[in-house]
Amino acid sequence: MTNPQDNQKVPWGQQLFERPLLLLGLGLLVMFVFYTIWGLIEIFSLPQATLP
Amino acid sequence: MSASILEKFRVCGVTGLKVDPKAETLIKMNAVVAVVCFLIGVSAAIGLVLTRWEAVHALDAMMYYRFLTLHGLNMLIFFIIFFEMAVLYFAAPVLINGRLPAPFVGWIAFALMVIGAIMVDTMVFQGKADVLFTSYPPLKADPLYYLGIILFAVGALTVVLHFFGSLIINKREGSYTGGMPLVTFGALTAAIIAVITLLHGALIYIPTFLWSIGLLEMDAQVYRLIFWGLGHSSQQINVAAMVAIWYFLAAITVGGVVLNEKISRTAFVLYILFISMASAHHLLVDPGMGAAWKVWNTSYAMYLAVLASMIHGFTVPAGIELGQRLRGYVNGTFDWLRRAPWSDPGFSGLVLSVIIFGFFGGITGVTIGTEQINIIAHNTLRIPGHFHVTVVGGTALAFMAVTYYVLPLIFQRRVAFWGMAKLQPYVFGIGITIMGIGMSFLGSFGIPRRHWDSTFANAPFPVEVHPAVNLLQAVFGIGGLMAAVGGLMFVAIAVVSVFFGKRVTKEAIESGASGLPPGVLKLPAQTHSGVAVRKVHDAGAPGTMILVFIFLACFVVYYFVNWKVLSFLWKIG
Repeated sequence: MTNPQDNQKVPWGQQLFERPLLLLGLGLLVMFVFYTIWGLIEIFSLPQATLP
Repeated sequence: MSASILEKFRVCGVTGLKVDPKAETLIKMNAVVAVVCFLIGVSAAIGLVLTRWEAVHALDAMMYYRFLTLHGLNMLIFFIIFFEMAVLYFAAPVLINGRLPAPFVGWIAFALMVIGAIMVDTMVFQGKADVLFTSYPPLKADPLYYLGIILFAVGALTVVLHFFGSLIINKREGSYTGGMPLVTFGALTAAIIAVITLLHGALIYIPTFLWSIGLLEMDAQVYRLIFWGLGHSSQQINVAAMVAIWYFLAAITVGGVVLNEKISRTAFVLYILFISMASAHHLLVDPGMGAAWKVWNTSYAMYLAVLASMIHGFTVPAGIELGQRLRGYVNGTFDWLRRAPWSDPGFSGLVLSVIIFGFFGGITGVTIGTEQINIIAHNTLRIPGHFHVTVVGGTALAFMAVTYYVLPLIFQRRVAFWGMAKLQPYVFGIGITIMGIGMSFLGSFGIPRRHWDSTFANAPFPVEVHPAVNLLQAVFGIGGLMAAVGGLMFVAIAVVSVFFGKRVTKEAIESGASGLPPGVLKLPAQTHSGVAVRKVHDAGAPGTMILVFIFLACFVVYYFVNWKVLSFLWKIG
């Protein structure tokens, strides 16, 4: 099987996104900021329930 | 790369790829264990189907929850992730003609994963972990159960890091020039989502292990938040791996064309950035989370990942259409589809996977993932109805389809029971679709997920169940059993092929022997440039466009109907 991009000049945008560690960093950042950390802030900022 | 290493590589007679035998062995081992886990999962599934079908109601409550735990872990985690590890070893180094940088690391990781899976299954079989896949506190399992999951996760994370190393080292050594192949890029996407997933796994299972031995307190809401960063994201690894396999199968079965590299790669990047947020769907009715967090994570940002799925859902079939047109099937709008190799299980599995995932899984997922609509679906059978058509009808079926090519290309064995193999994707795909539809409608009638007794026979208050539920349970049961038969057919074919299958030889390929898919007998031309390609690109993909608009119409109708049903909850005036 051949790769259509064999021996071809790779566009700069693709070169940028072919860096595994850069993509990994971005993926972790978005998930941890918007889901995990924001979620934890929501939980820990809940007021204590007043029991009857 | 040194010549002595290259000499040990096997050159694939079909694809021309240079295969590092050390990577090949790890692919085989991971794939074999994946099939074993699948067999355990299917066996448990039969018990579950025959219990939730109230007319049969085979298992008692304790065994039901034990089987449910076993089914969830073996299907959603062990089968899928072992297979994905095989996919990673295939994507790099095999697809990039490179070497495996540290084979011993691969073996250590494999051992950790196997030991972890055995520990978990043993605890479940012994009745020390009847906590379901979710293991929500305060349900507590034996500490060895949590330790098993941690070992499995560490092993999987090691494979993923090894994969990153493989990409970087092979690029540096010049194993491939130009850009990374699209399939490898899809696998990279899956690997990154795997890191996100496994880090959440570590964040929640290490404290839970400490909680299980009495060293730590556990907050149920924090557990749910972090657990779903693992529980749902693990299914997003599947999506990325499945899409990568779609592109691979399209190329190898019909010479599928990549419509636009930029678009497909951008869609993968959207997955990396936004798909894991879908974990928030599971917390949509949790009082601890605010509306802004819920809406952002399940709607605005997450829709960018939905956009990515819709892009792949268009580019893969359009690539198949263009590939078929390049092969000469140019008459009319659907000649390319009619004359596709429907008796090739690799192709039929691919198409069924795209349809089931997109039409049934995608539409239901986006709809019930909407915060407002979720209130009429949450914790009902609609949810497993949705994920059985995505994970099973989509991912598992794609994995089965690619297995029909892995067997001759990697195991170098002809596919056993070839006649049965041609039927298997249809039996499995149609069965799981019927089951998913049954579950979805049962959920619409308020039948809960997970619960042993849908009738609530011993509840202190009477629960009215709509009479249609009995019929739908039969639909669900028949579909589930049909899918189980399809699953067992797959296991039989895979096991017999691997251990007793005839070897693939040049003569067998040249004579068109049974057990070899058409793409192995004659690899379709992989045409990426030239006048002919420009011509088919210019002509577009009219057949796929029609299918896409049918899809969008179904989406609009289903979405509207759900809002309409929601409006019945709060009658005004």
